[in-house]
Amino acid sequence: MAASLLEIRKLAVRFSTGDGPVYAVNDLDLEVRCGEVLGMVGESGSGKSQTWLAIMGLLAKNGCAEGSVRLGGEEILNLPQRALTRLRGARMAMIFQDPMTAMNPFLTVGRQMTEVLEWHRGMSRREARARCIAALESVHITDAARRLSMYPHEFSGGMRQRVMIATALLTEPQLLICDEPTTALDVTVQAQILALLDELRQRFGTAIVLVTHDLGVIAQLADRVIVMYAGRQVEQAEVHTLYGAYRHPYTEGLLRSVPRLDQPRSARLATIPGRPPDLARRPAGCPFEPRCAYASEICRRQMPPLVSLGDAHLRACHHDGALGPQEREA
Amino acid sequence: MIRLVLRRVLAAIPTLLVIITLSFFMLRAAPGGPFTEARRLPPQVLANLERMYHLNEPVWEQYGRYLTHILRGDFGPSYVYRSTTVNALIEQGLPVDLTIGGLALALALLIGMPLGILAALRQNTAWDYVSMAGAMAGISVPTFVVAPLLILLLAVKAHWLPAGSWSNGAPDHLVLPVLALALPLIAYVARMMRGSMIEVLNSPYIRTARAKGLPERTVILRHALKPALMPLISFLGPAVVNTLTGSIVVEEIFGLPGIGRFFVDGALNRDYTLVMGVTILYAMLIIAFNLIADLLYGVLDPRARQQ
Repeated sequence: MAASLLEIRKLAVRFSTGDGPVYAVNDLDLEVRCGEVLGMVGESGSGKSQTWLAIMGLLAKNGCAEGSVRLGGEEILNLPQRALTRLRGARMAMIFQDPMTAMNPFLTVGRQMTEVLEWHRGMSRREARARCIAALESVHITDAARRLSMYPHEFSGGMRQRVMIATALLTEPQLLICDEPTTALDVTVQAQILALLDELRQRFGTAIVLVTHDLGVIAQLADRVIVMYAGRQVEQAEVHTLYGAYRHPYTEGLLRSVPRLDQPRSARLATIPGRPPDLARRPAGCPFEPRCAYASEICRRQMPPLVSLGDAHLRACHHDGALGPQEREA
Repeated sequence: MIRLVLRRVLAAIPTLLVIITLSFFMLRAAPGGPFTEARRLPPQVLANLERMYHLNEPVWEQYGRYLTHILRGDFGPSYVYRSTTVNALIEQGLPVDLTIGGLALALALLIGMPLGILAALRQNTAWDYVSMAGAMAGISVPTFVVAPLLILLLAVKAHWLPAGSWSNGAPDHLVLPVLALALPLIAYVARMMRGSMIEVLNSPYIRTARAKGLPERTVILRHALKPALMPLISFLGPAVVNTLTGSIVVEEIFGLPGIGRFFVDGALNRDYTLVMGVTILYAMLIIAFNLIADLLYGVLDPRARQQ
């Protein structure tokens, strides 16, 4: 097993709102290993994005993070602004969902790339330019020198996301956090971006965190998967274990609701009944209980702890019996 | 760029023509005339006056005559300020308005922009609340209250500054009118700047800039400032003209020989040529400053430059 790169212990993300504090992430323990691709999946509001924004120190003003996050053994949670500017973009980088809005429309692509090297590496603009051209070529953008003096609106969505990836990797960070990197892109472009991430991971050995609600994306790229629900980790497993032998009813619901081409067209798309709980009025027991087909008395009263099932497989569920048929995923 | 300017100047011609035509006929349609006075003139005198100013001709002929004069840049004689021309009146009054208006705008940008930016950066702090409450007051309290207050406090009580008059634009005579004109503008600019800065700071590309580890100073100066200025630019075009026209109250209170009073006097006295001249002047100013705002837009925003 590869060495641990990022260790998250008891991470909680809290937002103070008009209705009092709301916990977007609760009691999260996990680690990212060097060079792996860790997938984090969950629906909107499950806390998957807020987890990583908290680690990057990018929470909204009313948000605050508690717990401990160590990068290479060094505590990085809630660092002062100055220390953050040395860490972000240098040792860990993050790219975002919508490449259309994630780049500054007022600055050339070159300026938005070179500034990273000028700041973190103290390079001159000229040196940085040469490095940026190479970086654009490594994400398969042709005619890179000319493109540096162009503006983001002159690029397509897929190209912009390539630029974002190239920019993030300029400083060769140990960790690249991708928050829904392909959600805003066409399916064919999605596949190209995923292939690119896989290629870069192999070339640079960068650990990648892939935050998405798309199980297909996870299946293509991730080594391990964490399933989030209502700010909690409900299941964690190697990708093959998860798809083949998931043990949490929510994971089951997620996998069932993936549209399938081999089903008759008249078949209804499976859904999970109900909606995620209001994070401000969290039930005492398991947050998934109201929507769970397997719920029993204890689920209402008591939060299930995250326990190991062996083989690096963890889950948080009281239900001991079998889940529904799994033959299609196996 | 040059093609844009040319196109806009050409497009301004029909606009101006419509404005001239409408105001020409609306003025003629208003009851009374330039020589209708409380004490009626003898019919012979009136007839002579009307013949002298061609007011006895059919209205279409007058309109044609007016247009040909305008093409030569001649706004005609004033009917009320006898023995002067409208051109002379404008040449006399416009520099006054340009001076106090320009200074007030410069002051508004110089004070309002940093005030708004600081308020945005310290959102929901005491600084933010105090400056925005001040701005709200600056917007809501009308000039005809602010100007006398300034005179009362700084001129009458403290004797620091003269209470009024132009004195050929002596600096100490400028301070109070410029302040009175600038206060609401400062407030507007500060509020706009705060709003747009907050909006920009919440945009995804600012999050990207921070995620890249850039220091906050670079994030604000390089990434946030330019986009935050955009709403201000579209506001400034009309604001320049509003400041020039809106100075009527300030001119009146401080006794300044600006153009504003010609607007009022001219309209009340049916001084056709004077009202027309001032109207056309403002129309041209509005067109010109909107064009300048659009050009600035292009300079700042690469997306606008392409179109």
